[in-house]
Amino acid sequence: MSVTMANQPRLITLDDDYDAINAYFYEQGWTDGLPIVPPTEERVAAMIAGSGLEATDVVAVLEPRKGLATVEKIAACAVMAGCRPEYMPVLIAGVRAVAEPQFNLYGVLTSTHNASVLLLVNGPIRERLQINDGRLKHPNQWHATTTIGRAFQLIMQNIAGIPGSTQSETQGHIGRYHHIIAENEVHSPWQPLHVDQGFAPGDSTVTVFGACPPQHIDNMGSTDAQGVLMSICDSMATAGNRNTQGEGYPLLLLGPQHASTIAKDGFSKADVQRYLFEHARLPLSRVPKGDLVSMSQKWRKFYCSHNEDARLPIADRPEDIYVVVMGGTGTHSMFVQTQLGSRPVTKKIEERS
Amino acid sequence: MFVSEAFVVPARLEAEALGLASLPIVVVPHPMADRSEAEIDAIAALALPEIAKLLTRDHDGRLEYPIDLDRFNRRLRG
Repeated sequence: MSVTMANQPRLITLDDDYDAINAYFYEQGWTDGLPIVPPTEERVAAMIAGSGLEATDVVAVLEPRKGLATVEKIAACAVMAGCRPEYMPVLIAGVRAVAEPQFNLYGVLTSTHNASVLLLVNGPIRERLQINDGRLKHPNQWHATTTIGRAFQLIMQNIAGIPGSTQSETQGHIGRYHHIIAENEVHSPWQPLHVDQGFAPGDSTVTVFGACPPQHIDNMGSTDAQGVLMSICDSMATAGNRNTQGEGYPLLLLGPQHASTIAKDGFSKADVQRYLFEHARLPLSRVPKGDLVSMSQKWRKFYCSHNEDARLPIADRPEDIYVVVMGGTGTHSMFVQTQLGSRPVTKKIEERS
Repeated sequence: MFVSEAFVVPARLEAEALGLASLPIVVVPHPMADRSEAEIDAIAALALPEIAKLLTRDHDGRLEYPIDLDRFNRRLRG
């Protein structure tokens, strides 16, 4: 069996006993507690073939361990999580994205913040692989979502991090087990995120966020844009939201019904971003005096020395607020506060095989 | 070289990842976030000589050098 968790891949030989292999991997700290598919040489080779790359190709060097994310090691994690070979390009793009310095993977993986890398998939691949954009309700439709999400976190744990030690988040975060969504491009009134970022509609992309657990936002009664947006603004601009403390990149996951209500009143996506920037604001008087030390230097300069009526925005600029349509039926949306010092990154998914 | 006690294990493992398995580390109390300026000053005053010592001459082979909490408390009491 080829085991590729250490910086230098190594081959270990174990008895052909599923339970014993799982116990061994668990004891080594290589799993997430659930049973894994043993990454045999044959399975890893098939997974590598799905990437269209060579086993020894280095996709990125990942912080904080400075782990060499070779195709072979990524493939081993993919096998363990139960992926199919055609899922590999999503994982490769995600690894390339988190390795960009502006994402600050070091901070996301070592901070006490309850944050985890969230993958957001756009473009045709999400439909082809059936990655959940909110429309998939039946468990038998969740194969790609479950296994890619799990594989990526195994990559974070085993290649980027150090099992059991570099994950310091205060309460833990279910997203450290599995964290992937897709945009519901079919039911969005606007162009999808990757097209906003300059990619072609036919491209597929992964965008990574240093994402905290989402907050449910309910508004069942409003029939106009301002009504829905008022609930959203009030849910985002809170003293406990780190994104009110400086230059962050908050993520709003708008349910399609909320998006439709907003769009039919003539709001473009840029209008929604502008509206949130203007109105999702926290009065300075609501910030405990002692916590003013948490504000960024820029926020202190522009807001904290003015007067108690100053209103803190949730991002530096309207375009820094990410608006994505995600979900199925229902009058619900979600707000995801993100870790300060981590900028989202979008990478194209290259399908070579 | 300098961490609060809650982060000793990640710091040690990162040092190992960098090929510096025997890097000596000065360890200060955790948490830092809710301490007063006087407490931070006291921690810095105790940690700085330790850090300087480790940077400028051979250490005694230990990996962790916790600051002296008794001296820390005495310093705070003035």
